[in-house]
Amino acid sequence: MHDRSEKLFPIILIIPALAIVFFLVIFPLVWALGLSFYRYNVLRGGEPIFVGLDNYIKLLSDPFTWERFVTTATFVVSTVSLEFILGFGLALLFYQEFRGRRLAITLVTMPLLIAPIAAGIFFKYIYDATFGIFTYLVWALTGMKINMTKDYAMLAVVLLDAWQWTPFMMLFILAGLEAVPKHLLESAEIDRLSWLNRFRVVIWPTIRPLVMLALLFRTMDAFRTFDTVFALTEGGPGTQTELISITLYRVAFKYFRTGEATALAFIVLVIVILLTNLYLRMARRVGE
Amino acid sequence: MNSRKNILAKKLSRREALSTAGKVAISAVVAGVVAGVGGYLAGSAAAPGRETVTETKTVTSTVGAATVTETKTVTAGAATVTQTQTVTQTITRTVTAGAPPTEIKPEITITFASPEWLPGRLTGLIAEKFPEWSARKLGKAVAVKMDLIPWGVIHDRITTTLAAKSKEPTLLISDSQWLGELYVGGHILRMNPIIEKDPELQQLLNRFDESLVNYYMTYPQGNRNNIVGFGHEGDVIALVVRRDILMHPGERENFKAQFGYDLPTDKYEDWFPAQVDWTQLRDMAKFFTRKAGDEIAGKRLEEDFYGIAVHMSKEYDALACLFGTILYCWGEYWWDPVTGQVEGIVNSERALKALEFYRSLIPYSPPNYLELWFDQCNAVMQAGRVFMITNWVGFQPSLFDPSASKVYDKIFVVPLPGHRSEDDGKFRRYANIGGQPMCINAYSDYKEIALEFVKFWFEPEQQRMWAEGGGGVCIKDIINTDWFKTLTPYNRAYADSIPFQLDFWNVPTYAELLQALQEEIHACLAGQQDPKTALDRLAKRHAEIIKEDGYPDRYPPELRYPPDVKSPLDVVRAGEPASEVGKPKKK
Repeated sequence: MHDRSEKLFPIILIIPALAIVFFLVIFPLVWALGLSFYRYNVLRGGEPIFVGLDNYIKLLSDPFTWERFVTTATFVVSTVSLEFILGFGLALLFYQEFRGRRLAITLVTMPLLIAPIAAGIFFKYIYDATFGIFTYLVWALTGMKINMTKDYAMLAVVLLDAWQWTPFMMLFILAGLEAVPKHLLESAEIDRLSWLNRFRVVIWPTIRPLVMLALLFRTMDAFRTFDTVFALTEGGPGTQTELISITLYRVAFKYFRTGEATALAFIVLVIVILLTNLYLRMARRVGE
Repeated sequence: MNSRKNILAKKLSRREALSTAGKVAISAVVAGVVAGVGGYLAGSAAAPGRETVTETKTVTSTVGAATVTETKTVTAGAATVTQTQTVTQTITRTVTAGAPPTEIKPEITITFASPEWLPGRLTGLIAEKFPEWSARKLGKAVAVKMDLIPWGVIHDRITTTLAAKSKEPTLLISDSQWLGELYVGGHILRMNPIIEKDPELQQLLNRFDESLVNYYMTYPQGNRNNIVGFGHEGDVIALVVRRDILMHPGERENFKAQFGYDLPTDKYEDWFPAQVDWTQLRDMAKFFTRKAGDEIAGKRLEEDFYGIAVHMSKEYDALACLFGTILYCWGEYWWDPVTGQVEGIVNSERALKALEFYRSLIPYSPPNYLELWFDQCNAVMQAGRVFMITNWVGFQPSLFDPSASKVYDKIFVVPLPGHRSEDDGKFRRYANIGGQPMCINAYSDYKEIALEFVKFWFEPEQQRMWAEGGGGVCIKDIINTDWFKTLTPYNRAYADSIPFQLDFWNVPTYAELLQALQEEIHACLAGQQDPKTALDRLAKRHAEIIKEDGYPDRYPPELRYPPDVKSPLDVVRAGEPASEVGKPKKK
């Protein structure tokens, strides 16, 4: 009897957590998957009509969807690469001890504390072609009248994302660098290894898991970026910066094509899962 | 576990504790300062306008023999950075009652969902009188609680709330184009059965201008068999012009020498009913566009000066309303609401000329022309860097606020111009309407009370407060009074503009149609595609959306545009007055 209650007790303890996961994650996910096979407009009401794979076929054969995926891929590759390069550079900089280092780290990580929607609105004003400070500075330094959100819209959103998320990458890499055993670095120095070899043989193997994790997080996050880009360009000019997340929002909450929106959400989910697996494989391969 | 023990067992010296706390505090302060400075710079970079909305309300109540004067000042932070405006309004309320005021405890509370802006807050202020009114007239006190929602999310909030069949809000503000999606979905009340039994409401209907009935109150537009809302906040686009520059003798002389005709003066009649043409506006815009270092009206310019700022942004319906205005003036419409046909209409020769004209304004516009909407147009005018702007009257108060606008005393407001067609020689003056009706939630338990609120709202006293507070009055017998027309610098233009308003589709698929329009035309303005390609792509996308929706075939007859009455397409093509929309077609 005592044994039985001892076995039951942990199960009882995890029931609330399981219930929350089931009702708030698993059940909606399964429900949404089912909905993606129906034509249903939540605002129009009426009975959902079963259409099988029609929503998926329609989305995947629509050139507009592919345009959005290409735009999203351009955005993801550009932002993650830039953030990785800049983050690495900053991490190496802050790996050195210098006066005011902690304050500098605090200041550099500040963008992470700003709500993305607010960052988008700030940058809208900063880039403004008539009154914006960025436009003014470029003009003052080069004499060139730049219109970032018109002529370099993709660059404008990439720079905004890099400004906000480079510190995230930096923190991960810096954490990795801090974890490199000091005695190994000292041995490498005694062995007179070049900087490059020291990095390749001593530093990289230690920081690699964290770098891969940071890249994974950032890629997944960049893929679902919405608020910064929506606030800054609303996907424009035209549809030049229209990411798949913005399209998804419009289909779901502007057009209320609920079935189609869930189908699109599942397509995005599958892509993110594939990307995650790809990263994990790469991480494993590099590890071997 | 060990490490946990170690941490817990670790003794912290006072010095260490203070040092750590100090570091945290310094970091927090630095973070706050940097964020604050960043925020300020970002906010002020856009415009000289302030980000705080200040309402000064003077409330004068006369109760019996005693007179009580109460002055209230309400200062509220701006809801969002994008809605930069400073508004100062004075509301004078005189309430005469036979008995001393008593605290009325409401038995029922209903919710009114409205955009978070001056008219929304003003509605709340006026609605404070409803408990007393309802106690007197209905025998039970009803309070109205405002749910003020930022503009950017109000559509999503209201539609998702109604999709969930929520009983509240009982009253809601709907943008005019949402009417179809809300009504066809069964979310808002068709009021005809109640109106038919209520002479007071029947009379009320006759007090609205035709345009307002067509676009604020009916679905399909102009079908009085489906009254689904009552005009609440009327709004139109009007033209704001720099008087000091326009009237400068040297500038007038040079303009005539260059263009061969006189500039209109600052006399209202020179602009309306005079038939000023959009092409003349472009001439003025071209003439007054100057570079830094040039002279304008006898003064040396320190910064570039622009001829015109019109809405060209991709946000919501920004460019749709302005391009629509030009499209109608050029004698074309978006579609045939009777058949659902798009091809040959939105991409017709007339539409192409309209878009070419719209695009031809770009060289005389500020560099941020692709982002120009109400806020950006106001900002460039308030900074004194543009000769004229088009803007919604509802957003014009800050242009006349000395603390926000450098040119508050140098501007005047007139109705938008029209255009004389090259092919039929007719002068057409139309504009795309703004503003919003109030509707009643079909799931509410208090629909009858909501209709009582409608009656209360349109009583003269409430309407006077609404007008004096800066609300867009929709009742024509008030709009057409001299009192109303002289109440603000823009009311006259508002009153004269209402009769020539039209609107785009208010069908359930409006959001998709609007998005396609915003994307294709914006891409054209950005130079990514030529006007013909833009309109052909737009026609194709619109045709697909309408076909997929099944309009009109899949719609029951009462939800289609009636074929025996004139549609906006018939009216603009024939160059007839906008009031002809909804009138029977001649056999």
